[in-house]
Amino acid sequence: MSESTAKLNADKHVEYIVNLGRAENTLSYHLTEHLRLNGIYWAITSLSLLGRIDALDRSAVIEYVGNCWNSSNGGFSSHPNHDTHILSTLSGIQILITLDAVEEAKIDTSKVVDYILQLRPSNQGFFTGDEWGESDTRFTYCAISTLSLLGALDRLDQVESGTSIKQKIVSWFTQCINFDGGFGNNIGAETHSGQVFTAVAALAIIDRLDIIHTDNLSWWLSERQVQNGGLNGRPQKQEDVCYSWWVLSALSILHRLHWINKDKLISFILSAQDPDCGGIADRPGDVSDVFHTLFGVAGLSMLGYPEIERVDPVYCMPVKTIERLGLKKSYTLL
Amino acid sequence: MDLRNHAVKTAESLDAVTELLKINPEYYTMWNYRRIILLNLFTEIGVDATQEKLSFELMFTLGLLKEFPKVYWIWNHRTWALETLSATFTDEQADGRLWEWNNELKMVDSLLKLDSRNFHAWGYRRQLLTLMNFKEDRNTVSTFPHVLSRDQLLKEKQSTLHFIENNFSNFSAWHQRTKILSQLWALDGGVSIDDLNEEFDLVKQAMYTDPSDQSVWLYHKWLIQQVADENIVDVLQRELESINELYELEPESKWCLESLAHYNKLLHQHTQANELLRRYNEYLTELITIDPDRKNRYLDSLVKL
Repeated sequence: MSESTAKLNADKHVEYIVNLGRAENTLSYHLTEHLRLNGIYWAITSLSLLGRIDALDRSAVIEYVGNCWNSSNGGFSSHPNHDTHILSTLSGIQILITLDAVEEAKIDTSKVVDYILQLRPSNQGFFTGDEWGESDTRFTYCAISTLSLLGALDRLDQVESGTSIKQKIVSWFTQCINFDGGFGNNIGAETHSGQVFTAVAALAIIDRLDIIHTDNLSWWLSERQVQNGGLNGRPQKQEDVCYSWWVLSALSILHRLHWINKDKLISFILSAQDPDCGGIADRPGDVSDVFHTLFGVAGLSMLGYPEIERVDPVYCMPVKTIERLGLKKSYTLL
Repeated sequence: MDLRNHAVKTAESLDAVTELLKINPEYYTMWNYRRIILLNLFTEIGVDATQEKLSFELMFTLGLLKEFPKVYWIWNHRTWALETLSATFTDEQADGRLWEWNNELKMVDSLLKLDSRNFHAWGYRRQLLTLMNFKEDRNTVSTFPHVLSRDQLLKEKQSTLHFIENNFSNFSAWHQRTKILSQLWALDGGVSIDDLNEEFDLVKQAMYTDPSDQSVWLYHKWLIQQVADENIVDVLQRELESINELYELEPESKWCLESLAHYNKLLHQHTQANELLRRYNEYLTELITIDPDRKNRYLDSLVKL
């Protein structure tokens, strides 16, 4: 490692995350209500990978998540009294499962499953974010991941107009594939590392990675690493710590994680740590946030950095949690 | 939020929502509420007034996008406003619709001038082009780029060239060009060697301008995939020669080496000449030195002779 002195400042990061939860009276806290539940998921998962899940008040989190659940439509909102959305629904379920608290939160999971299923327009192979109809490969991943975590993947075997929902999904993803082997957010859209993760992980969950050209896509993914060791999301773009998650998870599922320079990437992630306040930023010198903190820590976890728990590249949750559910897929970590 | 909780759907509540969204355009629940209010108002007012309100939505979101060009929720609302507006035009008002659409294309152009890689803007552009060419006939494919008319494809081909000539590194534009040309050539029942050579000339110019720009090499890779079997050997030999010339000028160019390796292997698939595989391995070995970050990929790719 070129900067061999840099180390993961785990205690600082734990402190940083715990302090975020205490900032309830600030303006920025209110301005981020639209992604509060995602924020708690990023926080819980970071703490869990750092082995400090006990640092957050478990029962307060469960109560809050329960208050984000809409018992009439079955979805979760980003904050109590906001509208439900598939992004917050996956986060809500991920938090409760990581805390092993689905029953404790008194969530009727069959309603959550129905909420997800009705977000697919009839005869289509994609899911929308909410009833307003925005489509994006992210939302289809959210749907498949949520159904899998709730043990309801068999609902995709249902046949509609001659083909199963699962076949429609596979056909939709196939139409999203570009010549470089990757996926954009919709049919015709440019390949983007974040969307590549959503497609690869969704296809892994439904055991249909066969539609991917592994070497071609892994080639493109490994070219995301730039000179300073960081990864970018698309050709000729700037590097960003969050791609340590999106690119590495996909490479891990495709068993090609060794196609990038591990030591240089570790140095890059560590250099984006905030030495004073804790947390990890998008790149060195910027302000840290909980989103980049999780994806930095998760990247380090896949690269085998010591004293971090292993993250599952398909679900972005601790491996031990996914193993408990019996959902582990084939992948390679370093 | 109180107004929403009490399901108030008046024009005054719309003004309050406008002010709130100016401060926090990420507040997706408020965007939802805004659409609920608007849909309710539309049931009470005529078509002209509805079109006026939707035009305001386009103007309002444009102002926000200039400040927050990457907020999904703003783009989402704009798409909704455009789709809803276009559905209000009757056949007699086709001119009005065309005017609206062409204005939209200009709007996307202006946002892409500020950031030529903004994938929201590119996505919106594709949605717009799809909507412009949408056919009511449910039997036709209505996805991008299949729905585009030949005339529209030619216009978009020209637009992508404009973006590329401004900046060869704009892979978003190269990507768009792969989609447009694929469809154009499919409509024409195949691509002529002259059309292909025109593209090879364009990409060669870009390669010589900056051999370290991977956008260009990616496009070249796509272009090679478009060559028909009866021409592939000739084209590969010509392109290998041309890349070799560049490589002699730029012996440190990873992308020259990478492409030489890839195309030698591809040529081997067509000619079975073992010499090509030997060269392929030599180029990979050289790449291990020049591009050590990806050395494991090169090692995995070596073939047994």
